[in-house]
Amino acid sequence: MVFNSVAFIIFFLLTFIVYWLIGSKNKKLQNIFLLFASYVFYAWWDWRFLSLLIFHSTFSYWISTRISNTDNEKSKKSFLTFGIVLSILILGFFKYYNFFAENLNQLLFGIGFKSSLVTLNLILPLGISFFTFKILSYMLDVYRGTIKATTDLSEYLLFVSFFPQLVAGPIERATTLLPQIEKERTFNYNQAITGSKLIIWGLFKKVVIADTCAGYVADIFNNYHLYTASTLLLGTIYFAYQVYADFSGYSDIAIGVGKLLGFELMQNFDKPFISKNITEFWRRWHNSLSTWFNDYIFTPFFTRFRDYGNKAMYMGIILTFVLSGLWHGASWHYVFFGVLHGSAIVVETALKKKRKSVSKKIKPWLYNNLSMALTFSFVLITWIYFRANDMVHATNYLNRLFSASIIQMPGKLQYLPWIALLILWEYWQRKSEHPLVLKGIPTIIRWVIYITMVFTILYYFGQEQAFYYFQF
Amino acid sequence: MNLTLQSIIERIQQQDPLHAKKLKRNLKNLSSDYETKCNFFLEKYQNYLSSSNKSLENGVDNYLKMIADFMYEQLRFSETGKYSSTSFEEVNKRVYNNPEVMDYFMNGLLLSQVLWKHHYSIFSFFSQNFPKYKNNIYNYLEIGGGHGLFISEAINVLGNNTKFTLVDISPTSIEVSKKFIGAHPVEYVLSDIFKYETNTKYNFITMGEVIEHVEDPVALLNKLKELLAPNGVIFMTTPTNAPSIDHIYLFRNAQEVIDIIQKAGLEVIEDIKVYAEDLPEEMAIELKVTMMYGCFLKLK
Amino acid sequence: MNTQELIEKLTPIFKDVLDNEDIVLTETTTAADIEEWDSLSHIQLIVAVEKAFKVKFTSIEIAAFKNVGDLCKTITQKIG
Repeated sequence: MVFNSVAFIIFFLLTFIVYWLIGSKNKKLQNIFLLFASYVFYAWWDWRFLSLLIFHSTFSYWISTRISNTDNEKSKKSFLTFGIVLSILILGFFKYYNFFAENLNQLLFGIGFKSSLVTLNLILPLGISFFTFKILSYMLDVYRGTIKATTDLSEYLLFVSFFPQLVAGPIERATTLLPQIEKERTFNYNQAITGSKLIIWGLFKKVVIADTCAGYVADIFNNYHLYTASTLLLGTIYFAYQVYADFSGYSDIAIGVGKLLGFELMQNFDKPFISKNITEFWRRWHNSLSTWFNDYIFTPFFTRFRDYGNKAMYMGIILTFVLSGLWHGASWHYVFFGVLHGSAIVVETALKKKRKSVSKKIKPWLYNNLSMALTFSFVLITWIYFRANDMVHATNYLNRLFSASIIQMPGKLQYLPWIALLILWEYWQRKSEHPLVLKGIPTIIRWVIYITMVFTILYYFGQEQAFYYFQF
Repeated sequence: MNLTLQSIIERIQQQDPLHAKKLKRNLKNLSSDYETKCNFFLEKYQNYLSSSNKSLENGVDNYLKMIADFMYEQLRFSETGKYSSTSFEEVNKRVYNNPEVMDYFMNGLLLSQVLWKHHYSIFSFFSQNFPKYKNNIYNYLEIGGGHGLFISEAINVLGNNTKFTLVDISPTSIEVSKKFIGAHPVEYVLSDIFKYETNTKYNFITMGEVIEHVEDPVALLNKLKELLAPNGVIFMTTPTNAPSIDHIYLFRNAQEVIDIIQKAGLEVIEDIKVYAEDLPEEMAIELKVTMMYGCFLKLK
Repeated sequence: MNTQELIEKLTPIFKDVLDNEDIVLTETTTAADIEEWDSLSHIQLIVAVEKAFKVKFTSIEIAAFKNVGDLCKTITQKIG
């Protein structure tokens, strides 16, 4: 069930009531109940893959236990390798088999060999990219000694399948989530209030902003050859805010639901569009993914090849971003998107000293705003490769974007006020923990705002519209 | 009487305000190319109306009657998931050789080329990209030209050094096309394309919305291959999930069309997918929204 | 070599790699305390430290460095 649906409201209400009825004194029973609820949540989406989730979780638990209980370095490594390889094979099979098969066929055809590798009609299990990465991070953390392997299967299973994070992240680490599962959670009124506010704010972004923007974006991208370049530019801005509102909205709801159950989950987004460079952007955007790739791909790679100096560093960055691009989808335009961002970071790193000296020579506000504008423009343009159906589509869109009709009046301006509202609101509340803290605002006004927001959400509450990121 | 888009929509509004509202919304915000193409179309449409002794009211009536037919077919499709006719013979009798139906249907289809954003979008895709292939087109063939809009555009681009041929199975279609195209010399052939024999090899073949009207699409494409010159290009369009009184072969998504193309030994140079509703691709496929698929093809 | 001497030797290395003349190191200094110390420069620091002290860290040791104090302890272990 999607977060913005009647089914989820009922599901969550029931879960919330039973969970707190069980009470914090029965932590073990609470955990098992949450696990059961999480499996119901997943099965509601697609019951066929519930067994895959359970199998993969249980298998990784066994691997981690074996790694933990062996003192033999070689044995540890073998178990780890086995665990990693199987996990990647599972993910790779469901997600990348067709991509691999098609490209292999084309490659072989190109050298005159007719291969008959059949492409399968595979369905992608929901959330597989997210929970596989959670599982991988756990096995690696146990191996490195970052965390001790848990001896409680149900707690581990809950860590992997905790329903707020199950289908679209954040990719939480065992180091922050397992201790909370192992400890008692008591109902905290303030925490619950904050959680509720985050849910409202998340729903507002998701239902009011993202879902409506999606229609505009679809029209402009599908029919790009009909519109002026200025409309196409507007299309990229709409897309940026569609993805941001959708994904960060979902994350906010996940965090809010977590808080209502007594958990503190990690942040995934932190005002990404004020980033002054791409390196900073990936810290502010989908942070859990960036840190995952940093800790488990880039750092091991660069550490292993550190004696080759900067060459190794640059290669590591590109490799990391190619994989990160591929993570988003089994298609060349996603890979290309990764290459573009990796290259930007390589350039930024290489020019670090130069950028520092430039920043010292010109006024801070000019440097900062120019940096923000450049970074945002780069993001807008590279996201064309992300949103387009394939490379040809993206290139055509881009070609038309850089044409004379850029000076013509753009169409489809109707949705701009909502985006402006979002930007202004986030700016107004930038110093607060979240945009609905509304410190210093008189109580009556605060309540008017909450109520208006809830009714606006209900008004825009349409049929079940899946989150953009669920296909990952 | 100078026909403008405005006057046409106003006429529609008088009889079907809801539909007019949708049209206005969709056609807002298009770039200036639309205006240019629209004027090109309207000029020809005006001549067409006069040579058929029809008035604007007649034209709009025909268009609205066609919409009613589509609504009916759409309802049947939503219920059954299948097109209501599956054999060519059935459709031939019901539609193509039925002058009464063809009359209003062809007229309606003609207007829809500029009124329906997704139809216009395909036409725009054609007109923006066709010039890329214009060199060395000595022989141009259009199959099932229907209303004559695409061949008119080709004539506009290519001019006098090309020989134009139009093959269609319906006499009414040919009449409509003649009146729309106007003065320029075109060889009109009344024939089933499967039975069309010639020694000419065509450098460019346009076949708009024909392939969903036959029982064996691969056979049709193979026939086109026979007619195609070695470096020739084909422009083809077909809708998916589009119930209509004469659609037989149901394509459910672009991949099914591409599969047929590849089976026939052809390959896609570039293509476009135009959805009738503004939805992201995954959703449109899930909700079975009509999509117009257009592509330029060449021999593999 | 005791910890203080180690820190004195490490400081110029940090200043050089992180390009910041104002760095002051203590045993509890972590990456969070110095803006330029991120995952990229972390490994560059490791390379520089390995070169300066003629030691080689394992990847597990590198992952375990939480602050400058940890780094000093491991260096001391390696150079005996």
